[in-house]
Amino acid sequence: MNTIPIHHDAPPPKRQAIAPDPRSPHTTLPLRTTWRGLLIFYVLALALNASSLHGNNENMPYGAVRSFRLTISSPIHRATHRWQLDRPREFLNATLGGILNRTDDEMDWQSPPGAVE
Amino acid sequence: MLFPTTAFAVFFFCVFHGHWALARFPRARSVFLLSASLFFYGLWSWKFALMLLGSALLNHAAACRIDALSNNPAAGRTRRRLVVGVVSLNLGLLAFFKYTGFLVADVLFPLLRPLAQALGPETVWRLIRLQEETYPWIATIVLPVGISFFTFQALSYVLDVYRRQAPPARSWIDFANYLAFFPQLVAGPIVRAAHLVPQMETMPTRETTLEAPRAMFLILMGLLKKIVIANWLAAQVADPVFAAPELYSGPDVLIAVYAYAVQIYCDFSAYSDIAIGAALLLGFHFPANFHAPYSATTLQDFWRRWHISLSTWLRDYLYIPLGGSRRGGARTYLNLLVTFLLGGLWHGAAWTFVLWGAFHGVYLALERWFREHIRWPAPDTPVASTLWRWLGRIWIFHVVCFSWLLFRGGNLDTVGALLRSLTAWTTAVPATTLWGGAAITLISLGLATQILDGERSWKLLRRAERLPAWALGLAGAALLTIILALGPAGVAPFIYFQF
Repeated sequence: MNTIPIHHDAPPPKRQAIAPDPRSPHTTLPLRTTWRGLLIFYVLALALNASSLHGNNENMPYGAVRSFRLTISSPIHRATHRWQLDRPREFLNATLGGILNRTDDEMDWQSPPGAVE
Repeated sequence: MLFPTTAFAVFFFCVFHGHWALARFPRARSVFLLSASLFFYGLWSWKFALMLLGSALLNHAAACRIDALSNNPAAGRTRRRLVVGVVSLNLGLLAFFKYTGFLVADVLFPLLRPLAQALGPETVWRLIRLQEETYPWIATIVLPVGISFFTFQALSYVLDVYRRQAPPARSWIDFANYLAFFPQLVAGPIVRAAHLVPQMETMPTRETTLEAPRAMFLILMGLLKKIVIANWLAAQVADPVFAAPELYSGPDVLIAVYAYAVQIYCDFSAYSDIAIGAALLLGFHFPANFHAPYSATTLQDFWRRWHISLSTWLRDYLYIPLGGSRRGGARTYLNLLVTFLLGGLWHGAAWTFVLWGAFHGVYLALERWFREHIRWPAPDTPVASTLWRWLGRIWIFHVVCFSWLLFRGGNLDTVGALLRSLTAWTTAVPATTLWGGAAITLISLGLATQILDGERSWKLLRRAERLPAWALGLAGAALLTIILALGPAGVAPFIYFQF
């Protein structure tokens, strides 16, 4: 472990703003481009996952929060469903997600050889 | 409010816009950021949000006073008393919330029981009544989320000002923003005052260019690691075995320990990644917290790669003030042991965490002794060198895995049962095994994600720079959809929230 110098008689150091690491490959974007990218990300992510979001909201316990969330998610869900934007998520859920997150009830259980049934 | 939730996505969207819209009004922007952080924390408990604000006011006032006294040579003792007082207050608050239950239930009462038995049945009866009155009171103590993290941040600020390594913040709002900044408030990284306070004072301007591709990459990687890998491994492999180890055979316990090793890395590094990414989008830079920890070839190397912000904090504010390695061999070993014992206790109030810290401390001391006293012949060919390095990696991975048994076990009985099951080759449920294709794939994938820690991902991100904004947004949304489809239903809290 390295030691750090402690100079009790030295004056307090001046503030220096921390700049990005100079060795970084400068993958920086202007604020406007970042904002545009983030907005597109949010809109598309919402459109692609609206059905799942709406389903989660429907499974919430009854109350004001559920009603508020459903008020927002219902029209988005209807619109994305009409434009079939929920198809990619449904396909992914049925294929990749379905294989990975199968519950015991959904599995095709087979008795081991020699087991008494 | 958890990171991988819709609520946080909406919250962050509002904060991002508010933060940049107020770029021309620095004071209002600082107040807005602080309000957002307090709102984020206040959703758990408004009382604790007020406590956090109080902690910011107190520590900043103390730091300013310590700094004001630094030009007066006669005030050395007052400065020292002040710093001891503030450090004691911070640690006292942490101890009350985090260790009262442990100290009373696991230390004090077990010590009093044999004493009471020796004094007679009347004393035993009184002790039982005392326990009956105390346990419900202990149960009412709720641990504020992230108290271990923001206490250490506050301590680093006060101690840096005391050591004259950094001046106090220009205003308490800047310091409060440093202490309560929502991306790292709950589970780190423990950012030093010298690193973040200047950024809070100067605040990024609208002309600042943002590392947006890196931020998006870190956030998506974090979500992949948390939602897909950590949650699946926890639910399907690690949790069932750690809950009832006696039901499982040795191979199943072994894969559960591997799964937990990957789960805790993916869980904690995911939180750090998302925190760093969110901060980058707001124009703030945090230091890296992980650097491929399971590729370490020694335990010392592991601690340079795992939870870097904590290990460097312990080094600078505990190990070195204790004397570090400057006071001879025996004292160095003792300092290592004390540092890791307290590091273990920082993680949680239980004997298993103390044992976990002791295990790391003793192993590090032994490793140091071997390095200083035994000269291993250096491998003379590239093949031998590679082989030696990989043997070191595999050995250290298993040493760390063994220590996770103590960390995750929860109590000594479970740890004992896990160790017994580890050597058992029969299982209570025949013809079933946890060694499935999905488990092995996700453990391997979790280990492989380390490749992208730190600078390794920079080459990949250089390509993203050339993409237009819409392509970045589209790629991000598509990846997020895949991640959400792969993940199990529900959101499990991050492991480090409990610390």
